Amino acid sequence: MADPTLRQSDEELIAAYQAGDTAAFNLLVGRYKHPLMNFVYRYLGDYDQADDIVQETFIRLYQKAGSYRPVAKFSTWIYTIATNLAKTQLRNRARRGVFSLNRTRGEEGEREREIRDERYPADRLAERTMQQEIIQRALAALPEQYREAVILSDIQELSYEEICAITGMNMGTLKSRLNRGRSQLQVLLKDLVHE
Amino acid sequence: MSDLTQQEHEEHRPVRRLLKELPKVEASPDFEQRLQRRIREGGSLPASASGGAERARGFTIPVFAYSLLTVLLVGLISYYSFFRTAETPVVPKAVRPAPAERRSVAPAPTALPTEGEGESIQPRDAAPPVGGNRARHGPSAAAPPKETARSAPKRQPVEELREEPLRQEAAPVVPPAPEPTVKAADEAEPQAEPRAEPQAEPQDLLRQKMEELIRPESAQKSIPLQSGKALKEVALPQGLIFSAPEAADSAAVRDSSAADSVRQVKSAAPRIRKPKPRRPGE
Repeated sequence: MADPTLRQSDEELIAAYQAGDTAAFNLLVGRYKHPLMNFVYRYLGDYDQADDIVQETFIRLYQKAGSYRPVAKFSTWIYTIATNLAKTQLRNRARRGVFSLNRTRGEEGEREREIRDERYPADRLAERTMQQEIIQRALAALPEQYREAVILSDIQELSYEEICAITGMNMGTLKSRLNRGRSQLQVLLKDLVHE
Repeated sequence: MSDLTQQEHEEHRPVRRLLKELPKVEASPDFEQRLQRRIREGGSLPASASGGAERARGFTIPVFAYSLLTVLLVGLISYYSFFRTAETPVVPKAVRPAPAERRSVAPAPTALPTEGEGESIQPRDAAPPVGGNRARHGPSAAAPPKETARSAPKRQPVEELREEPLRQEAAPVVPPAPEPTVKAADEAEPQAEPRAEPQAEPQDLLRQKMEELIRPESAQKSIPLQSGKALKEVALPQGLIFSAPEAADSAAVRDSSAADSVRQVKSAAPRIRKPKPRRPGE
């Protein structure tokens, strides 16, 4: 017999948490910690900073769940919080004009993490890791608004409507940014694309 | 989807495939434990992630409080300094020399006050009775030069105001008093004064100054108290008095501490109160 909480929608869980059910909060964390981590990591390129941002996102959820209104999807709402925090982090980093030491550590961590990817045979792991690093650098080289659109669409696989709701862009702007972002990526990754 | 969009879609297919193939990055296994700990601790974001705004918010209130406190302190100090400065003109008024003395001891009083402001302060501070009082009013010593500079164009009228009442005063003072002891001294005053005054003891000088202190100061009232010029000009003759022929005596007096000079003035005060009854006759 399936656990009834697994069948609950995000909106039902947040409503339960708003009513005082802390178990509902833990369920929401379990559902969104990996997707948010993947998105923020691809956006920032630093695992430790991404971890901090995702934690902060859930802290905001914990503290300000009352401000959520069921007019929007919960996924949209939580992605919007994470996106805004990630953007703030990116701007702070740009203002400081330096990359933190964590970045290097994060990249090493990423390498270790991705080496465990068992989809590829061992002889191709090094090549695969290098390829992932190149893609990550190409993403980091994209302008912020293109990167945001490309990650949410092609990595997180969210619908255009959801991306528009998260980023506040209209559909035309989103398509335009996606097109430009992908074109730039194609130029940056031409060696990988033509393989 | 339009043809163009479909075409673009096809163009970007390899890139999209590469992005889709990227391994999913997952949160660390202890993510939820750390989250629970942070929530229990109050849910503050680490400094590295929170950025400058959060840090600045933490400092805003204390910085504002300290700024306010500093402003209040400066205001209080300024307030009290102002009142102390306002008191100082009383001191030079009290020790201003008699017109007769000035004529005899300081032959050219008008030339010196027009000197540079910094120079004019020095003799004032050197004069023992004045310096003694001024030592207590430290901040006021620095204040007058500014005011003097501001009132510089009005110097001539103020000097006239000062000289005129003093000359008027000179007449009632010079005539001999009804008391025989004082009369003997006063009889020779018009002629003997220039010669006698330079040889006067410092204590006598103090007594004369105290006479001035007791005398009605119509002339001094004409000099605005807030004027730094008034302060300077009144004080300078003091310096001249103490640079008179008895250089040794004056130096001794100058070297004496402020407390000594105040004591001297106090000791001289009862003796020179005697001439007071002469006034009603004037």
